[in-house]
Amino acid sequence: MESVTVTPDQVRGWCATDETAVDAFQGWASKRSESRRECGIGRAGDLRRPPVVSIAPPLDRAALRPGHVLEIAGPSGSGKTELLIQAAVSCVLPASFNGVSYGGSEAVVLMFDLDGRFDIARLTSVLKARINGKLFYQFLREQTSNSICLEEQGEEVLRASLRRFYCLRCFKSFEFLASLKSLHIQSSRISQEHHGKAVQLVLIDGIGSFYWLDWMSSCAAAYTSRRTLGVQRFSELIVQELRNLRNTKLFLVLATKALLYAPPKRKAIASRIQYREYMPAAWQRFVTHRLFLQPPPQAASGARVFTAQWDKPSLVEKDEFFIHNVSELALFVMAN
Amino acid sequence: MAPLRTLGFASLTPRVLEFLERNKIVTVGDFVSQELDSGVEDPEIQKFKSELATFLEECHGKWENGDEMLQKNLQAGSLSTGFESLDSLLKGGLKDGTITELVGPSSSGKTQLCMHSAACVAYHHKFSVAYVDASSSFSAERVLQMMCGRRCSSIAIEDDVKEAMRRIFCFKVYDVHGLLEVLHSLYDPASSFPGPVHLRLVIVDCLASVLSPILGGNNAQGHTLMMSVAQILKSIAINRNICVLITNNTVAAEDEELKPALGESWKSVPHVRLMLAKDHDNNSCTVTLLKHTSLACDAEVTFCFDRG
Repeated sequence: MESVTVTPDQVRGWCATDETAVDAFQGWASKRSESRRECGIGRAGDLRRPPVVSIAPPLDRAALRPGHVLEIAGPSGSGKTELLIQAAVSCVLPASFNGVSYGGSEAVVLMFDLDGRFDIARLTSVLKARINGKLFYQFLREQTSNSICLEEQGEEVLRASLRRFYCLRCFKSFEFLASLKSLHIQSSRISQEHHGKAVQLVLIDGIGSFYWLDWMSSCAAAYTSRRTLGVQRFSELIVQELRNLRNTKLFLVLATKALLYAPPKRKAIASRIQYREYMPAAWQRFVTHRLFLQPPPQAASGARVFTAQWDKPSLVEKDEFFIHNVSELALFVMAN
Repeated sequence: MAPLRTLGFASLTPRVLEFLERNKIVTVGDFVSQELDSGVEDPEIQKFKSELATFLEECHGKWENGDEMLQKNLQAGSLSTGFESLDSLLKGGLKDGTITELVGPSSSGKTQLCMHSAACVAYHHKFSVAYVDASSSFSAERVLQMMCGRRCSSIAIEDDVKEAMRRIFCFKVYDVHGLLEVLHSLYDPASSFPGPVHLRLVIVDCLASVLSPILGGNNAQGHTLMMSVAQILKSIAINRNICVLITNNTVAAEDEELKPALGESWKSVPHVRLMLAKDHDNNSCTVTLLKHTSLACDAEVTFCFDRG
């Protein structure tokens, strides 16, 4: 955030003037700067906050709005990509279609797959399960509905929802940065294809995937005459590009971060989950919320329970959830 | 990187060139790595920016729609490993564009499974296989035995078996730099290395034997080399739509269990992770699904290797 310089005379003038609430509000509205619009974190009196994004549990514990940046950190197999998929499904589903309410936001989702491991089959199976659940409820309510036409309707909703989901794979930090830059320049194209529906959710799977490769290029920079970018500089540029994209329209950013160093086993029993931070300061400042995930213990029999704990805002209680697969149905249930 | 001037952009007028020179932008890299605030209103510069943005999009891949991705996924093929139970565990076998990792202690059947998959792909599917042997454990006689079964005799080998054996290309590597060289030549078939045609399977056995010695110590050089190997394996799998099969050792974990070697950073590389355990009494191998991008884990199957 930029700092605003104010002279003492201005302060005296502001304190001395008597004005009505209407004048005060109009004063706020006219002086609103870019930095205030970016900071979606609510301040008292800021009447134009964007609405809370409706999202699957356990992400709904902190009221996430467009403009926030949530970082989901955890070891491999702790359910990070699964949370992104659940959030994407809530976003791409329509609010209602042909009399059936699906409860989605009908908005566009952009996914940057930096890990290279995103599987469209998983997203499709979660979408199908959600759609089938709603259609089944409709079928129970109105006994006269034909099951075949419900199936066709489900297929149509599935394809329409998938068309609102865009994915791009990157193998290097430079490719990620170049894609962000070209997206910023061509931002009108995607919203034109969807009749003005703007991007509501940006997912980044594996924000730390290129850490070691960028570290290597920053070491090699001492030996080459070319200007090479290292870990810090790439992070600053990526954060800058994301901020530039947000200037046109606010969106919520969900980023997953895998661990580079094994978590210490002893500390896992303690009350707070702690992981070693390795992302540069520019990224850490950009993040407004942080969630830590823990995989289920290996020796567990029966249901595999995952643990989630909010680090920013810091909450004491931990949420537990399990990911259930029942043939075609994939349910996400809060156990706690 | 080539200078912007030489790339033949139509909208590169003298005014735009002057603007670029003022901001010290010579290559595409410079353009991407700088923040350009001034000159935003100029329509010529805007036109050049959108042309460059289209160029960048073409170079680094277009955005893919969920619907298109699903159609591609449904058409993607899978290669059989040669064991029906393992193929059904993986819902089809080794999928195109994925990295499958076999984890297990020594003599748990990893190399046998790799050779069996190579034999099956070369003989039944009739595709080329690149076998990168980092632990000097590849045996052509054993692969031949796996292809023919009991009816093979050393004197008369049938023509189709010979043809299949010619489709398996074995590369011997002894350190990480040799491995990187071979992988780069496999990724770019236009290089001087005689690349195999219709390559559908790349096997690297055993990755831990070249990467474990360079990890550890005070410097992080080993980690960066390991992640370079990961990057080239991912590029081979995804960009060239090839199945990649790699093997990894296990190390002792804190609670006396076995965990895969190569540390925490390596865990985010393979798409599918299988744990092998050998039962030496009845010569059977148990495979457990540890990690998969779209299937539920912890399922396991057991099968036996044909001793011939």
